[in-house]
Amino acid sequence: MNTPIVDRYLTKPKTNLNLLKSLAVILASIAVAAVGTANAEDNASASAPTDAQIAMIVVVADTVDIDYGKLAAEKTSNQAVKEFAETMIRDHSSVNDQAIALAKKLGVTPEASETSKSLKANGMKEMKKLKALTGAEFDKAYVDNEVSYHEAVIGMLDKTLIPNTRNAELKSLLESGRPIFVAHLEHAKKVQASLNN
Amino acid sequence: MKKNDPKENHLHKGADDVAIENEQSVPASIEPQKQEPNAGRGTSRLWLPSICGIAIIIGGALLGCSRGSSNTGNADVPAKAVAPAVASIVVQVSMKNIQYDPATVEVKKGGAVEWKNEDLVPHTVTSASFNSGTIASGQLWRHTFTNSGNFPYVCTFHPQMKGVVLVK
Repeated sequence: MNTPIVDRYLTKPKTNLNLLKSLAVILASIAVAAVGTANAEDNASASAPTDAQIAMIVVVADTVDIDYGKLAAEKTSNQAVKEFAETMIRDHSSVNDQAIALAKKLGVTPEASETSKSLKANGMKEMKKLKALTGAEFDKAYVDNEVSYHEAVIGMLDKTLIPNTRNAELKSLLESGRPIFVAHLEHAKKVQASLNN
Repeated sequence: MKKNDPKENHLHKGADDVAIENEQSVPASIEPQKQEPNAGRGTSRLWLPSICGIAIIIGGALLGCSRGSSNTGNADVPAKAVAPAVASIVVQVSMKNIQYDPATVEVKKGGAVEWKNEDLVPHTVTSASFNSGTIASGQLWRHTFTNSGNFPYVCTFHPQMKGVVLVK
């Protein structure tokens, strides 16, 4: 009837073993879940640019458009296209100067990323294409590209750059830049409409 | 800093306003500091009794002198430069997000408008009768209006930027 004291002690390790097994399963599950979460976070941070990478993206994006503008100012004989191109050179140079000055102030060295490399490569490709064109063909290709380029940059600002910027001053600079790029897009669309008429 | 004093600007303007047909711009301050129209007014109040006392003494002394004297010892501030206080108010317009804000301002004849570029990019304030030239990011430009009328203006760099100054 009564379990002898010795037996009771003997059965106890069995119960503990089961308990340990259960605990091990739970801990293993938690560990797996934790590793999964960590991997997901790693992936997220791998795709999200750092402030240094964002600074480089801004500088490259501005520089690409300055180069397009310089080419257009040199090649076009259309007054509206020329004025637009000069505005692009002036505005993007000003934004660039301030972005570089801010990066310096913050001690951030702009760092290349896949995005900045891709922007640069596409910019060079487009430049090559534009250089081969002349007259009205050039004007149309330049302005069409300006429309799509500014649309792409605004999309990148909204989806990637502004949401991922950690430093408040850099974020503020990007937010201040957005209405300027929107104004450029509107301006480009007006010039585009005038060329199509 | 002294250039930014609205009173001083007005006084300079008033010195030759009779000959001016079109608006004449006042050189802009290159300093990015925020304009403080009230700056110095408190100090002026403190000095007012002393200045009044001195003025009464000088005035009394001058009354005893020849009336035809052209040298009053204060040639920089001729009597005709004194204008109604309202005209010395400087109306502020911000240039931000590719907009003039406010886009419409009203000033009294003799009053001034000061534009501050708070954008990342350069702007201009350009009308048929005045032109700021390039106002870089962070800079100010001020213009005194000596004629009444409506003065629409634009930014020559950004055609969507439009404003108007109503001078009463």
